[in-house]
Amino acid sequence: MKDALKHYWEGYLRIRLKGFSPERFLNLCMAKQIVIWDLRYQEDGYQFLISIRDYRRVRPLVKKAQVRLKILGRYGLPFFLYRNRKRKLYVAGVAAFFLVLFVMSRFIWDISIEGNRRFTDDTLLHYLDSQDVRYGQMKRKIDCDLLEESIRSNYPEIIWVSARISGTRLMIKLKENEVMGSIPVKENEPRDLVAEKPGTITRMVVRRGKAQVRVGDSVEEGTILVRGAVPIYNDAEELVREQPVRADADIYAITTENYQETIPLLALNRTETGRSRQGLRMRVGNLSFLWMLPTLGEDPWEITSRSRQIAILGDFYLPVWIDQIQAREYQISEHFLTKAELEAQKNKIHQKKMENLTEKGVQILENSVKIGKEASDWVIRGEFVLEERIGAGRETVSENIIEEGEQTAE
Amino acid sequence: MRPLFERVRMAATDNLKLPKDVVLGEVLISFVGRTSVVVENYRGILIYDDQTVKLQAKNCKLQFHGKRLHIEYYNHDEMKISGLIQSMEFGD
Repeated sequence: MKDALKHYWEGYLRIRLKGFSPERFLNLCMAKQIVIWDLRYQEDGYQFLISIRDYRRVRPLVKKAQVRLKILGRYGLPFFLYRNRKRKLYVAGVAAFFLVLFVMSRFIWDISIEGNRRFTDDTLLHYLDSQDVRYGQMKRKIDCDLLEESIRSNYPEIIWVSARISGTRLMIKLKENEVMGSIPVKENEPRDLVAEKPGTITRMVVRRGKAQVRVGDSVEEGTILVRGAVPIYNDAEELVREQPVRADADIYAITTENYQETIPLLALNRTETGRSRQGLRMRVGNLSFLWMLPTLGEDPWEITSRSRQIAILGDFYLPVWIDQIQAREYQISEHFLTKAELEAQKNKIHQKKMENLTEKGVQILENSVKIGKEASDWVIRGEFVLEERIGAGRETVSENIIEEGEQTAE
Repeated sequence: MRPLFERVRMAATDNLKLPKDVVLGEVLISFVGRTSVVVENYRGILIYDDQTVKLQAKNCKLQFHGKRLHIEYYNHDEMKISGLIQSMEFGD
């Protein structure tokens, strides 16, 4: 292979050899280190290939061995150039190709971002755009170190950035801070715990504050469960003041939860008719060319396309996109839900609700679901009896606590 | 004197297990199937046509018979012949 390239580069000849003693000539060539290859015996003499340089040195041997040489063919780059010396546009075309390749390789045609989870590609691309880093930007105007620094300082959540230009692609790898950005501030504001929904209390553990209810009590929405104030008595068991605290407790109650969902009487069915089309679209900048048969007919078509950017030599991205388009015709039909379908849908909805509740860590004690027909829909009504944690924080409202506190402080 | 020197050299090569093609300049022939053969350490071409290739080696002559014999390349120390090789014989 290496030899073949070298021979092509230097140029070589096919020679016919005739005469008194061809073997002598071949041996003389060997002795003079003249390289001959592809030697064949033919009816009218021998044929072989020889490089131009060696052919010039062969003349004295011709006389010595009394043979005659005839050139049958000329091959290789020097002869090719000589033959095509008048084809100026051809040369210009080849030169233009390399020129375009060279010029295009000075720009960024692809930006890839890896490792971003919180920030979308769009967000980062938008930011890069504001830093004058975008598709079609000249490579030498991009300072990767500066870019890394500016991303890091602009997004404190990004703790490590690496920007690298490879071919015509700008690769940005980053790592986001996965631990929480800041330590949560411990809340110390006094508060009460109130019931956010009605229920019957089953268990309670109060850590701070004064309990206002007991196990077995029924509470309504808004009932104070734990007051954020601890009474302080003196030796005579008189109330001196109430110390405001942040109420904290685990309170579990049996509650009920209802839901209602509607299902339309008619179900839509989509069936493909089997007709399909495939097409290609090429996009170059703002231009686009489409090769596809038209999607005719009354029925709607579902069209999906897969886009791919053209790259040569792995990382050399060109500003050309190829879309592979697939179109399928489909029909929409309607039918009344059958009993089985209805049952399946009902179960699905109910199951989903139950899963949601279980995920929240709520214990389901009872559940029931019913289905009924209304004007134009099926209505699903479900009921759950749950044991769940209740109690939501609410700012302490009684102002007299603070007043009293101030008075004692005086 | 010469044969003695030659004998000593051969004995030394044998006993020291040196490669004979390197030390004594013996011809080295490598066949690849029956369609190509590489000959190393030859001295010159005696006869070549499409049915016979006769070569001179240091201590002997060798002759290949076959059909459509064709020398792919040759240089000072190596020659590759391809074609359908039918036989090879040594001569003095």
